[in-house]
Amino acid sequence: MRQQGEWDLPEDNENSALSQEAQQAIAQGLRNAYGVLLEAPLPEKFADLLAALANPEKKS
Amino acid sequence: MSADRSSDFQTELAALVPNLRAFARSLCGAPDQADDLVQETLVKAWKSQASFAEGSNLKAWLFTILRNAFLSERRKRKWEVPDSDGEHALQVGVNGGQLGHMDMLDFNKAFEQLPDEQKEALVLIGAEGFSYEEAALMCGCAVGTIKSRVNRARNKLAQIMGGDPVTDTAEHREPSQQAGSR
Repeated sequence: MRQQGEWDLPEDNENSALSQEAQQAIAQGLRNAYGVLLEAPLPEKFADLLAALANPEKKS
Repeated sequence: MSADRSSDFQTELAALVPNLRAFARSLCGAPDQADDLVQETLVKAWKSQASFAEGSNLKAWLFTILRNAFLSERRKRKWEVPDSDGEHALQVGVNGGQLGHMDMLDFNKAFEQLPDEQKEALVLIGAEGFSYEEAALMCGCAVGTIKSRVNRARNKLAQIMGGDPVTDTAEHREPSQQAGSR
């Protein structure tokens, strides 16, 4: 698996009609936008769900 | 399944929830629907954990479950895909200025206009760092198809954002069915 966002590899670009600058700008835009989603605060419901799955007899 | 392994599995699932949410958001957009997808994925993964081969790629496995849930839900709800080729989206365009100076709002608007299969290819490769081979397995298509989708997505983003004017020519289209669907 590659590092996140590391997609500017020769194999990726060999058929691209985009300039290097454009490819880098898009990669950066994707990293930024996805980074915001990754860092969004997690609601408690996910931890609660996993706990409930692990302990089905315990009901809150 | 041992209690230890079950506990490890729970911990590993919890660690991947942010990635699952981000992937779900990038697929369906709406936060509530994305969270429903993640919850469904966690439940399915938990119930199927015996079938997960320890030591294999848990994130890829979870993403595949989420993707299948998304496709199934989309079929059920008939989530709008009015422009699966993204051709109209390109005509609408976004006043994004120079690519080098685009802001996130512009990027998000442009990204939303991509067809679903291009969004997921771009995210899997460009944001999550999966290999083309892994992404192809997850999406049930050929490696060349994933490469083509990533290429087309980047070209369309560039067009929408007002950067490099690239025509969606034949060489950038997906390999045809005879190239194999896997």
